[in-house]
Amino acid sequence: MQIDLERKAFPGRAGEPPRVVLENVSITVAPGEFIALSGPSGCGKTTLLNLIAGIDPHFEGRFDQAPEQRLAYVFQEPTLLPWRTIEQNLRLVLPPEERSSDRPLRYLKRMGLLDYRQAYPGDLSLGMARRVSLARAFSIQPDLLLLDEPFVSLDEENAALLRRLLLELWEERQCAVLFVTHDLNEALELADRVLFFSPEARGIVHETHLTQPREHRNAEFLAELRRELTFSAPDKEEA
Amino acid sequence: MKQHSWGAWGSLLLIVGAWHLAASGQWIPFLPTPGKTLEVLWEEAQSGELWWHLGITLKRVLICFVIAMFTGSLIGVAMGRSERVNSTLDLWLVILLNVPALVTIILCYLSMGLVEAAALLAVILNKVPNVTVILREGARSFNPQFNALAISYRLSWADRFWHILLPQLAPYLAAAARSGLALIWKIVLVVELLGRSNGVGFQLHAYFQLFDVAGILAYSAAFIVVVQLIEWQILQPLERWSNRWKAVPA
Repeated sequence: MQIDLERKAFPGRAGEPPRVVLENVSITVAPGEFIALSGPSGCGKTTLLNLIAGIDPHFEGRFDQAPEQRLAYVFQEPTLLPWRTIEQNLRLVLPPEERSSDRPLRYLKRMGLLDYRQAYPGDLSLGMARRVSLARAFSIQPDLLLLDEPFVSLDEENAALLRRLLLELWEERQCAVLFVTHDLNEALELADRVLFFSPEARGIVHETHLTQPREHRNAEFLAELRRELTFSAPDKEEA
Repeated sequence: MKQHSWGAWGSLLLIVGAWHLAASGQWIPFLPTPGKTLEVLWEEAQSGELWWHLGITLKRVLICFVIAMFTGSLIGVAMGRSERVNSTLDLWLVILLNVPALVTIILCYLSMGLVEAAALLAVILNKVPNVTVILREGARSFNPQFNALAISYRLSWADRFWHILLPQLAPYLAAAARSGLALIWKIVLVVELLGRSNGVGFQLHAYFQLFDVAGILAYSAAFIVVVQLIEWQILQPLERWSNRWKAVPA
């Protein structure tokens, strides 16, 4: 997928000019690549995901994506429909001809939530709801997966569990991932490539390729990498 | 039976008891006893008159209810979702909400004559603004995250309507239906009283001319029972079904 965003602006308040949040952002996403988008609040990371997903159609530029490619989005909030059971939530996003497939149940089982398939979202904890949201995204067998801080406000134990599950499912599916996070450690631990955004630059200010296998990215490696990043991109605001 | 049901039945018995005392003790001279009212009700039912008039009124209530709910919902959702539609129609909505029902009925009869269509139109025009206001609030409360979900997962318009929009509107539809039923049957009786030759409203008018209070109370009681049955057998089960996912408060 090729992202060539020329400009994204939000209308200004009465009498004020439009507020430009992203300008000249160009990203080539290889199939199966895991890209983390990092940067402080307000630098346009979530906006970029919303543009790619088609939620916000007002922008200048183009996204080249094959029409048959499937896109899944894991939002900051689990965004489960409270009036549908967990299983019904998963089935709804499948194309109609695949709704009787056993994939939703398989993914619920992988998430350890098969026993909750007839429960309603209101009966689940936040951690469980986030796992359902991840299962829903993988149920459609996406080619491009968008994740917007999917582990925010979880305790470290739950967040680590979800990171492990995400990596397992991604390695199986080999879909391209755009993963928005404030947590630099999380970005460096999961991604093949980290793109650093800045609100002043209205786009990408730095890019880091991670070639080290994920199982070798221990605390020492991450600390060293963070130090290097601080020297190479001193204007970057870290999490 | 739940405790609050006992309370409701107890209060009903109390009212009937007080009515009996007031009537038999001649505290209110024209008031017939509950027994006399039941007797008239039985006679009307036996002769078939009650069922015929009741059936006609219910048919009018049903037609007006369906058309008013459908039209009011469409306009309400459009106003709730589009600022342009809202600013265009808001003034008319306020005007229609504040025009007395009787004025609408008279204007409909004067312009169209004492015909069935005029009667139905008058009721519908009285109810549509009410449904519109409730559904406009429903449409304004749509969760934008669910819309984002529908767009990003490329849900069809049918899925969006049935599985995302309608469930969000359900509490507002239930409120509009309940208040609608209460309002419509009252207005239907007025249009029947003013310009129809059948229906419960017409019968009430006839008994009023004869100063037959037992007949008035018998028809009123029959209709109240029917409306209550609709509430218990249709509206409440529908509401329970649409709220089945909500946790029951302790």
